[in-house]
Amino acid sequence: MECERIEKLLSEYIDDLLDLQTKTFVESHLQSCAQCSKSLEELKNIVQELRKLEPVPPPADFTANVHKRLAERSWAMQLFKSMFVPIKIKLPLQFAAAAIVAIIVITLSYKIKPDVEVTTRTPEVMQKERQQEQPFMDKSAPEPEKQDRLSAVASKEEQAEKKQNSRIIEMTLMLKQDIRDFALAERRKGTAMEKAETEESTDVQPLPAPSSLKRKEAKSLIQKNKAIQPRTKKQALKEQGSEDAVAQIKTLATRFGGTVVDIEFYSEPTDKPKTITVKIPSSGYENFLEGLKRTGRLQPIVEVPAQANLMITVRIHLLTSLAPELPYDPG
Amino acid sequence: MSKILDDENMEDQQTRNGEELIRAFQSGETSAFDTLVTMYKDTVFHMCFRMLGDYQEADDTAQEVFVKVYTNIKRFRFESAFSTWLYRITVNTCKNKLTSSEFRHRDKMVRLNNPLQDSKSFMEIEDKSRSPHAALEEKERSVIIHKAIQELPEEQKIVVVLRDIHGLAYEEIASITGLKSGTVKSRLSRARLALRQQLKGVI
Repeated sequence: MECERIEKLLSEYIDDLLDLQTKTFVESHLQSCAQCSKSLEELKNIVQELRKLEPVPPPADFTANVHKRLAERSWAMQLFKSMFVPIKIKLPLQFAAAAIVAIIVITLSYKIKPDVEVTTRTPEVMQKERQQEQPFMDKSAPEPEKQDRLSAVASKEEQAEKKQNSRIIEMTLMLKQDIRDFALAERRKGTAMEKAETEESTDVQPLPAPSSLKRKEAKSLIQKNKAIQPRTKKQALKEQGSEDAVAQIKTLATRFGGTVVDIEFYSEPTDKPKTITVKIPSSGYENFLEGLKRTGRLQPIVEVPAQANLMITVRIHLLTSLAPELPYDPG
Repeated sequence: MSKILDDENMEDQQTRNGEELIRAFQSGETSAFDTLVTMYKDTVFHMCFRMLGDYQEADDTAQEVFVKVYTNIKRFRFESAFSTWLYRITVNTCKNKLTSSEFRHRDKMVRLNNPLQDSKSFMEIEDKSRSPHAALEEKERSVIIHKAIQELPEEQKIVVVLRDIHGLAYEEIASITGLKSGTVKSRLSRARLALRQQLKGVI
């Protein structure tokens, strides 16, 4: 058994790799074991013979052959590159692909238009937040999305007016009845243990939607609301109220030298007025504004001096509790 | 032992020169590669020959080694000695060759068709490397030892060639093969014992 162990250590003993204790153990065994001593001698001879093996030189043309092979490889690589798409063609292809993708994205983004204008849906609570961000809604030019909603003729007129001392003012008008409805909704929201809502409460809208809501979600929710909320007598009355507001604005405009240019309606769910565009000279603007204030809550109130001699285009966004419902996202 | 140390010193010198040549090649001096080939072709070829056992295969494989060196030399990061990197490529290329079905099939065919042809071709090879000072007896003995090495399992053969024929240190062998130092020692021990068994009565 000890000889087997010693035999395994002989190789390291020859290379002088054993620690002192093991080396002493091996040497003491070798002194007493002739067989292991003979094995050691044989192994030493083997190692010596291996070290004495003459190196076999490569052929004389070895370096030339390496060059030849490198040249062949280089040629093969060039052939491979030319067979498949080289960089010269590949790069334009990539650019072409990127351009096609960009065109598709732009085309799709222009074709998909929102059914509901989210900015006109923002009632009082969110309106305050918006006002902090945009202190003045009075703009020198209408927003692109809203511009799409106007007729082509109206757009041309506006462009022409811009050149001749004209001004466009945008404002929101919340009718008095709707202000009461929102207050009622807020109170109900604060009541913890309230019973199930009655039919009458269905027209009370929950908290308004933020303007960042995605339009697709808005559309689906509108359809859902349309399906689950039957039109009640009160709703009908309110629609009547909205139409009355339109009539009042028309009367006011006519009284102070202006005209109603355009009325835009919600397509869903109530077909009620959404935006009224009125053209009025600056001389009658102040009185017109006072009349609007009596109709409901007006924001923002933009003052224009009567002496300005301007033709003012006022776009009034009507906010009512019957407007298409959008969910409130607390995030 | 002194021979090994001398060889190691020589290798160190070659390594230093090799690294300088690589830097020169990497900076665009293409002639530096020729110098590298000239400097290392004998060692690489001999290593291939002892591992593969066939002159033509060794020639082909050694050329392949230098083609690989040329292809990958720009990626050499000087994390190890150039010689270690070169011998690692050599060992791996030889291992691939040894395990290739083409090589195995050819080896078997030679042995079955004419067992003596193998040694005859070896003698012809020996004629090419004939040293005027070498005796015929030594040549025959070297043929027998060479054949005995070829009988070893692949992993033992590699260790024996690197240590006992080329005189590399255990640590360098471990670095080249990716083995632990203890594994190198045990494989070398088994290889030497196997050779002693095969060469009994000859040496």
